Order: sequence, then structure tokens, then C-alpha cells
Amino acid sequence: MPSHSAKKVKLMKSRTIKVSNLARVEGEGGMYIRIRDNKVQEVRFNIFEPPRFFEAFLRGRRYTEAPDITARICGICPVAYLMSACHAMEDICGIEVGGRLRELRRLLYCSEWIESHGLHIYMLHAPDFLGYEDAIQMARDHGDMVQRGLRLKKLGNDLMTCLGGREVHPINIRVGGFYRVPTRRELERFIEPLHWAIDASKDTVARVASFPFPDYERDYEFVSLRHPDEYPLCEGRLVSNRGIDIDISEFFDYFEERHVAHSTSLHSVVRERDDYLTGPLARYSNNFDLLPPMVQEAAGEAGLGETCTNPFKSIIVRSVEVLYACHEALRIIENYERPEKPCIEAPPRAGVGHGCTEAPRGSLYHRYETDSEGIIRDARIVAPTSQNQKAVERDLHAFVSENTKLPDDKLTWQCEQAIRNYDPCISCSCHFLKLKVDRE
Amino acid sequence: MKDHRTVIVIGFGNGFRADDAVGFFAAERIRDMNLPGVTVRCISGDGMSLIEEWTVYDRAILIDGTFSGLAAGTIRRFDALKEDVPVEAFRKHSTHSFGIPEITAMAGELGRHPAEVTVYGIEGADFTPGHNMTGAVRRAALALVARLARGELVPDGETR
Repeated sequence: MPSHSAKKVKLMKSRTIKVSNLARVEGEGGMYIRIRDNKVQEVRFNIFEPPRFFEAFLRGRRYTEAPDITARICGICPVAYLMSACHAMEDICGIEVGGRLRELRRLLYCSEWIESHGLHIYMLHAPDFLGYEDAIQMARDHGDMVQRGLRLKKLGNDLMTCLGGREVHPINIRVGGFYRVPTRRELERFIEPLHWAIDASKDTVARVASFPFPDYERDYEFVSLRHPDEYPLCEGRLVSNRGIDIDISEFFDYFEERHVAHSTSLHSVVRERDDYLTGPLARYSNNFDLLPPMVQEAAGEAGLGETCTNPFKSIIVRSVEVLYACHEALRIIENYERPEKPCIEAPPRAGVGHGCTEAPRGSLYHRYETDSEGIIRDARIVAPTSQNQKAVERDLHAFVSENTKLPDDKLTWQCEQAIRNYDPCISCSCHFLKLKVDRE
Repeated sequence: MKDHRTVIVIGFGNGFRADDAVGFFAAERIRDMNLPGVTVRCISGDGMSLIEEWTVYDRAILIDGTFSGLAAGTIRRFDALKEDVPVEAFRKHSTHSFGIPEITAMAGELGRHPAEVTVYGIEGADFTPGHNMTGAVRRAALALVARLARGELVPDGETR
């Protein structure tokens, strides 16, 4: 059943379905689908969450403030904002944070993936496949699964708190590194829980792979970071399965943000082509070879190939990424030696810098221009959901076109599910969702 | 055996949003009292993880601002294990996070909760970002703290 009332306004040839608010996505917006003679004429995301003007009020602030200010864009993926901002500013300062500090940053990123993916898999997405209105109802019949999700999420939260000072909007990250780095003992207490989490994540991959999935494949242009040596979190070149392979500083040479009337979030497109997809499906498909053998094996046993083009199977891919994040976190902690200094100096410089990291929902790009005093003169932030927005619309257009004969309530339900495939964060993109299907 | 009951007091809300800070305000006043057996936490994001940690306590007291149209400062008490906590009265901090009604409902479904879970809602009047808490709400919070200190937070066998 739909998670909220689907109100039929018209019957027979001309029908309108309204859903007041799409549940289990972050932010506010709506969707409009117009169908004529069983053909989809138009699909629109009507994102009406107010623009938040972060790029404007970053101007005039110091370069050191960008990470903490931009982290406030999102309570679900603040680490992505912190890290993209830090990398961009370090690019301007001409420094590179490497070695143990870089490892700690990867660990911090792992905590966000565990926390965010864990929440989406168990609390927001699984109820769609198992036929429940929400995770609370699902808990009645699948308490073990919900409890596992809560425990995984708590592990991500605890790790975030250890490294970042608190579980939401961490405050221990700065340009050049950290304010304080943990002792080995502080991190060692996560070894046992991470061993549990790896087993739990393997089980999750197998469990979600048994869900019923629509037979639905899309021909996406997958865009993600790619690093020569590791599954991408914080660094790499931007690549796509259609030939893009660029330094992140070339972002706006290849990608363009366009304003559309029905959205306060900009749409991103590949300049020479059109929509593209970023996020778990893209990362996985562009970087499968970089996953550790144990993770590849779990994916294979779950029926995933080296690429995945069924957006409904994103829940499997997210589970694979949680497994990876737990594995990577354990590796980092087991090899951890406390850095001698929590950060390296990052003196201000005039220039332009770029940062791009892999938020749970996809690539998050930042570009800043500062003066010689380190004052921000210009800021550009391209969030994953705004990059994915057009692909989601196209996806829905294709999905509804193949399913126009479904009754309104089922179509509405599956459209909502299709949107949740992307774990969209509208608050990020406007820095979404009412659904309206108009049939004639 | 424990000497006395253990209690976790959890303030929910947003410290930068006027009366939405009332849960924090009340919890912090209780923290200042250093009461034996009483642990205090403030949660501004997702509180669902509480379910993984609060079972070690005998009792949980949750405090948050409400916006249900009652007079500012009105205090409402819910026994969360015996009655539903009204979703419409409690502010949700994010569609990706869960507030008191969802946490208590989920804990009930999973059977993972302290023996007693009490929710206090204090009706707010102003939830504007950057504003201070209103006088009526502040007075109500202090009255609730005093009431709890005389009653539900007193260890077994002691009187105040």
C-alpha cells in the first residue's frame, strides 16, 4: 500500500493521483506525472524546498570556515561536505594531507557510509520490498532485521563521534587534518563491533538480494570518482562509463548545471550529452575491480555482476558498500598508529581549488576561489541529488511508460519506491515529495 | 544488585530554534543537579540509536517541545509503554531521522526499552531559528525539572 493516501480526483480516461508528501526521503518536494492515452507525456520533480543560499553566504567568510559551514547543508552526510570543502581549500593552499591523517579521513568517511547506508537500507528502503508502510510496522514481523540495522547505524554513529566529536555535524575536522586525533586505544574498541558488522553486512547483502525486484534495466551514464588503488571515498579522477576521465578541476568543462522552472534545485547534465547518474550504482559499476575479493564474492553470491543497471537493486549495492566500509574501517583501525600531529599547516593563498568526494548518495563537488587573505570570493557546490535529479525523472518516465496499466495505488507505490532507489536528499539538492499523476 | 534505580533523561530538540530548545534546557538543568543514578543526554538528530543503548536503564524520561495548539508552557505527560505518543504534536527534526513517537513505537515493537518510558512534552510558542526560548516555556521547563527532582528522579528509598 502507498505510505500515504492516494486520492483519486478523476476516474476513467482522465485521472489524477495526488500524494501529499513522499515519505522516507530527505526534504520537501513533489512529483507530477501526466499520462495521455496510456502514454507518459511528462514527468517532473517539483522541488519546492526553499533555496538555501549557502554559496552566497560563504562569500566573505574565511577559508577555514567552509568545512563547518557547508557541513550544515546536510545532517545525513556532513562528512561529505566537510571533506569536499577541506580538499578544495587544501588544493588552494597547495598542501596534501597524506599518510595516517589521510587514513583517518577514510575511516571517518566509512563511518558516514555505515550510518547513512544502514539507515536507508533498513529503515527507509526495505519496507518497500517487504510491503510495509514503514520500518516500525516492518519491525513487527522482521524485528531481527530492524535491530541489526539499528545496531549497524549505531556503530557508524559511535565511530563518527569518536573521530568527529559528535554523531551529527562533527566538529573535529579542519582544513589540514583534525583538531584532535584519537589514541589507538580509543579506536581499538571498535575492532570487535566491526567484526560483528562484517558478518552482519554479509548477511544483509544475501537477505536484500532475496527481495522481489522488478525486471527493469536502464542505460545509465555512470559518473563517479575512480582512484588507482582503492574503492573511492575521498579522492580520484572523475570517470564515466562513456569515456569521461578527468581531473576534478575540469568539472565544469564537462558538466553543466541548468535551472528548470519546476525545481529550486539545479539539474546537472553532461554538457555533450544529457543526464547521468552518480551514487552507489555508479561507484560500484565503475570500481568493481577495486573492491576487496571478500566483498566481490559477497556481491557475486548475491547475483550482482560487475555492473548493476537495475535501480531497484541499489539496495543490494548499498549493502555491498556497507560491507566494504566495515572491512575498510577494520583495516584502518588494525593498522592505526596515532599521527604525531593532528593536522598540517594550511596557510591562506589566493587561488581556485576543487574538492570532490563520494557522499553516500554520490559525488559531491566543491569549487572555491579565495583571495590572498583566505577570504572566500566565490563558491560553487554541486550536490549528488541535483546531479541525479534529471536521471531520476528519466527513470520514472521509462518506468511509468512500462507500467501505465497498473492501478493508481500500485503505480503510485512503485513510483515512490523508484524515487527511494536513489535515497535522494532534497535538502542537499536545494541545497522533494508530492506526487501527482495526471491521466487522460 | 544496584543500589537504586537508574534513569536516563533525554532532551530532544534544536538548541538554535527558540522553544525547540526546551528539551535540552530541561535536561541540562537536571544534569546540573548531579543526581545519583541519573544519566542525561541531549539529542538533536536521529534518536533511534537509543534503542540500542537504553535497555540498561530502569527508566527513561524523554523531554521535547510540542506544537499542538495548546497554550505555551502546557506540560503533557505520556506513559509511552501504555499509550501512543501523538506524532502530530512532536516536531520531527528530519525526514531521515526519527522523533520521540517513532522511537517509542519502534522500541515497543522490538521490546527493547527500559521498564518505564515517560515522555514529557512542553508546548512551545515560537520555533523561529535564532530566537531565544519564550518566558512561558522556560518557566514550564523549570517547573517540570523541579517536579521531576522531587518525584521521578528520586532514587528508591529517599525522599526530598
